Amino acid sequence: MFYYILRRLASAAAMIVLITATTFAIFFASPIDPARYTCGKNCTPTILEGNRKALGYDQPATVQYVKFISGLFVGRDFPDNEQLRTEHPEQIVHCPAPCLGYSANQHRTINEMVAEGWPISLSVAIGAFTLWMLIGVGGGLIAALNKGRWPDRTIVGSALIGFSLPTFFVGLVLLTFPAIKWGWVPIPNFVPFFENPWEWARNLILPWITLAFFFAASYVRLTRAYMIETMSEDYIRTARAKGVATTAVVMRHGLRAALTPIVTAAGLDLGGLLGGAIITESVFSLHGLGYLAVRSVTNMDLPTIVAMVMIVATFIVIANLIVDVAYSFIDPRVKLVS
Amino acid sequence: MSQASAVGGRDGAVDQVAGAVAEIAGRTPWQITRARLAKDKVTMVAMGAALFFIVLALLAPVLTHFGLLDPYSNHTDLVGGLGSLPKGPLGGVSPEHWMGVEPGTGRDIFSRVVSGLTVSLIVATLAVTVSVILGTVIGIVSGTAGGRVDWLFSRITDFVLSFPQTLMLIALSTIVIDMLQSALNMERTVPSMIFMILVMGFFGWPIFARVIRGQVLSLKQREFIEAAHSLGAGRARIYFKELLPHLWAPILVYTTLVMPQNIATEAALGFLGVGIQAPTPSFGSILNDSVHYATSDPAYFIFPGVTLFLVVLSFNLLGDGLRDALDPKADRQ
Amino acid sequence: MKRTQIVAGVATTLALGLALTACGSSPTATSTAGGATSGAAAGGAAGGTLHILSGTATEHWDPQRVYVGVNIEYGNRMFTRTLTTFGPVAKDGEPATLIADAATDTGTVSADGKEWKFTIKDGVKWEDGQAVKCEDFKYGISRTFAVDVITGGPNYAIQYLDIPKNDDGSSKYAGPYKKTGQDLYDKAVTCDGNTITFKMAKPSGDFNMAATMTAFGAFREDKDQGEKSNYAIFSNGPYKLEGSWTANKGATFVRNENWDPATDGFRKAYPDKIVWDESLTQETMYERIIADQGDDKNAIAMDQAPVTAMANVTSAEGRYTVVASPYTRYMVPNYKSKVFSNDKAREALALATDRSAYVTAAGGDQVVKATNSLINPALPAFPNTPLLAGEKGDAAKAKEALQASGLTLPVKINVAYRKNDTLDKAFAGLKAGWDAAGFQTNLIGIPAEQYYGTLQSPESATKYDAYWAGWGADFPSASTVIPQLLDSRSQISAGGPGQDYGYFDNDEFNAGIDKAMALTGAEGDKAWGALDTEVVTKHFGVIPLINDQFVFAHGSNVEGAVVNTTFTGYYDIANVSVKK
Repeated sequence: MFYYILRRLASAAAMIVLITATTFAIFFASPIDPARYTCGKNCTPTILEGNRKALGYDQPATVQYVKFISGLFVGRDFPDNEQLRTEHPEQIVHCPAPCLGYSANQHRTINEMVAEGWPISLSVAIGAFTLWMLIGVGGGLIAALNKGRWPDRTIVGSALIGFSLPTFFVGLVLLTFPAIKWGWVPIPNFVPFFENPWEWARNLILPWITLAFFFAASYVRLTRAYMIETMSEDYIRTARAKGVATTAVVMRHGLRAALTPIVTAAGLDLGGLLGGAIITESVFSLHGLGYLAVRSVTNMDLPTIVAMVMIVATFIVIANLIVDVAYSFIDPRVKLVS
Repeated sequence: MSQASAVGGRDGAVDQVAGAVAEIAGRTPWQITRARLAKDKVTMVAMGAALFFIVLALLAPVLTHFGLLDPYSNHTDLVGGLGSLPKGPLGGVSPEHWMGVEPGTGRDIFSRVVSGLTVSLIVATLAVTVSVILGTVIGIVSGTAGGRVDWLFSRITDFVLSFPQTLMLIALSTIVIDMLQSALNMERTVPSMIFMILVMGFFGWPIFARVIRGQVLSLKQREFIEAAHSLGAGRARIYFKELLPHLWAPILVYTTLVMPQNIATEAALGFLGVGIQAPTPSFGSILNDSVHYATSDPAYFIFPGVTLFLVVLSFNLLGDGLRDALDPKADRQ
Repeated sequence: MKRTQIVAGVATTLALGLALTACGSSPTATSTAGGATSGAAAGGAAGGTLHILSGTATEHWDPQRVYVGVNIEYGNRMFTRTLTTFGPVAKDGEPATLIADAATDTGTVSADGKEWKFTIKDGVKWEDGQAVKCEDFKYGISRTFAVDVITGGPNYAIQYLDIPKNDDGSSKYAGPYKKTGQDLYDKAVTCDGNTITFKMAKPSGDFNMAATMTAFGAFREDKDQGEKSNYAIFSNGPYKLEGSWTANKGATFVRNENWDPATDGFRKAYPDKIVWDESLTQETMYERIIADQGDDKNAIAMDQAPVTAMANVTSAEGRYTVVASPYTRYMVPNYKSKVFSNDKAREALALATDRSAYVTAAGGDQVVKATNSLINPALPAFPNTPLLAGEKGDAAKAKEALQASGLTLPVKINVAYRKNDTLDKAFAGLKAGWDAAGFQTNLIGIPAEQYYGTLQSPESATKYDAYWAGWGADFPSASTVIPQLLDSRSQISAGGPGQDYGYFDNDEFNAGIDKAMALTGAEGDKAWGALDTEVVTKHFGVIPLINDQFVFAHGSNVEGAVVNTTFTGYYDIANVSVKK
């Protein structure tokens, strides 16, 4: 068991290293000159060269990669210039470990930007997750138990509609009508949870519904499919034959078995969302990690793009890891295989 | 329900009906599928709708050539006022302009939506084709080879799945489209379509690889593979002649499920201003503009939005229906 | 300047300015109607919190790096006092007068025009109580010369001051961090008690207008952290930063107790607090202001309404205004391209240009007008050059010219423009017009953040045949338009075309510029106007397209919101107050 976890950890770590290296390679091997976008108007070749040196872009990709990795552990200084450090130390920006880089485009360290965006993405993800699990699993359960009858058809029909509506469409309709035109809820503007939980929720309810719309639909279908499959298993029939109450049959035997793959999928989806729900954040102008990612692309802010891709991929790897390890605890068969 | 003929192809065994010794002809999976589909009215409607959209998309360039559709001409007389909004109700709906006209230019929205359908469907179809080809090849190789090769490909699959598709699409867009534009020396339309096809196709193959690999693993145990081996059949022959016929079912199902996702992804990316952009009509580029008019000219947003919804819905319904029809376990109660 | 920036418009433009606003506002509404600005300067209530909404992220607050109208306006009125400035006006679009701000008067110039003196008022203090000294102004202005750190700002200091240049055009003074050539700067700018003296490189009658830019503001040497000072606002005006600035979000500003209203002739500083919010998009911010709910009643827009919001804005009775924008949008043919080095080809492009499509795409003729002059109508030098071929252009005549050029039709051209929804549509129409004349136009939309950088990079000369561009005068003088855009001597260098994106290079024309520079008043205006007409109708070096108007709005509790078209072209915050 222990060795299984250890192996998975090592594998995850290796994966993360591979991801960072690949992302770095893709973006720094691109023909676009990252220094060009750090220089505003009135950009002369001298300034460009200066920026390039200060940000380390004149060095080969491997050197830059090593610097990036070491920065993750010990922090970095921008501009990395000895002379400046002695003469004008107040002009050096120190980026503490784990340093994700410096965005000359935004004049701040990427750590700062991520630290700002992270609570927002987390809030959006958690709220939506709760909502969609309740609705999705609950709805799927009801549908499965009423298979063929009208509750099933309605739920499946609604799920299909929810699944087919584009997220930005739903988001926009919600923003335009309940928020702007009718004023039922304020136009979303992030209020930190610890500042005012009620306002936090009120402002996030629309993004939560928008995200949950799609995922709930997906999970209704998933839950219904797994439940139907599980409920048709022989051991369920046996339990029923033995006289176990229906609720107990459903919840204790049926749902528990079906829940495992559902929770697996949910864990992975949540992991992906923690990196920022790009569309939802854009529609509602919430400045989370997804919004940060999109903005860094529009601004050709290469260091931030790279950092964002790495962060999101890392979340996914870690979610995979957690889900796998949890699965191994829940499902005894896994231990045997490994 | 317990008639022999209704049971899936797995066990075409004879069923004892007291006394009757009627000729029990086992049905091929294809016949079973067809029968199930015929009973499923909803899926038949969805299939009809999907086919309708595909035909419309294919015809659009022809119709444009003959002047029946006109996505590019300005009709500045049809818009006016502060902000150049369409004159007339519902965003300028009229007998010549079934979905109204575009603010700022007066272009016919119906023509633009249909042309956009063409672009979106081309991109989605080619992307899923790339995914199918890549995924099937990798799945077959992985499944049949086993051992180290299988392990390697599984790790690669995990690796690709770790990258967030939407984010990678956004992040790579400017760079790759620029490169393609300079390499091909064309204006933006075709390079941006190629980009979407390649990148969506690339991030889509893991699904197919996993499914195909699973199928291959279960098929590997069957006698006909062993038989082919012992008859001296080469690897390629095994892969393609023996295995493929059994794989079309999951390929078809997942294709019809991935298609609408690709259409939706293209639309979402266009909405963000990435990928296919104006003036090329595509759901994404049209909605990217119409989004801003949500309060002042809602028709401009609703018409394309609803069309997109219907296209995605019909493919989703079709995919669901196909999956149910092809699933051997579906009839069990 | 190209982006949302300051503006022109002086005395004799009164008629022109009001005429423009009048014809733009048929759905009743300069803010005078709703009583929002009548007698603005007078009655305003102190107190309350003003909310400023913006849909554009602020790049710099560092005074020497600010080059965007919104930031110049807000920066100057709230925390960066300059020697001189343009005072607030009573009605939208009224021309403003040059007044003294931190100085005792608008400066004295020597007879030969090469020396300017200003005396700094007593009692002007920084937010920490220390007095604003002459040395602070001297130090602040010197930072412009540190071109590798202090990027983004205007380089008028480098142009005006009498400091020799290197062969490549850069100044011999490298700024206060490197201190190379510090002695040269110390000779050009001297402090004697509280009197600061500037030595000009050439006779300059309008230096005291240039001094209104925040780049000529004071900066405390002990607070200078170079790049890190970008958002670290240190105030000598009525408001100071509370906490710190969050990029893409904004900050709150509170009163600066060390600001003495007695030293300030025009800032009323009514609100107790000012909250700046730039986290929204332009569309959302206008939706909120129009909806006028809750805190948005105290909100004012520091960004013009996008085309999509214009129709809705009219429902905000008495709270919106339509004013002339300081910009002219125009096409620049690239003289270095194979196509447009040919005179007849440029003529064909000019004749085939369909401005009506642009007008419609940008919001209709209530807010957009076709033009054939580079100079904005608000400046007295505006020559009102007649259109060559009517508003729709003349495809037939253009085709003749193109055939006469000797190039094989269809002539393929790559046209670049700054990508946004409005220009996508405008250029679809322009392309149709050009293609009808025998061109084959390939449109390339370049994202806003990279746009001017791309135009100014030397590789672009081989990639594009024509560009879209926009320009607004930095201060009310045509000398900030024609030479900035067409004087090859100051613009074109090894590093690129500067602002002369098309590499227009004509010796006779340059001589004409020198002559016009030496003239003043109406004579100068005529000379600039003639140059404008010459480059448009004789050389076809630029093709002016349109002048647009800005639509602004504010909440119902906001009073005193008047647009100052002379100074930046945005709402002038100096007299804005919030009703209780």
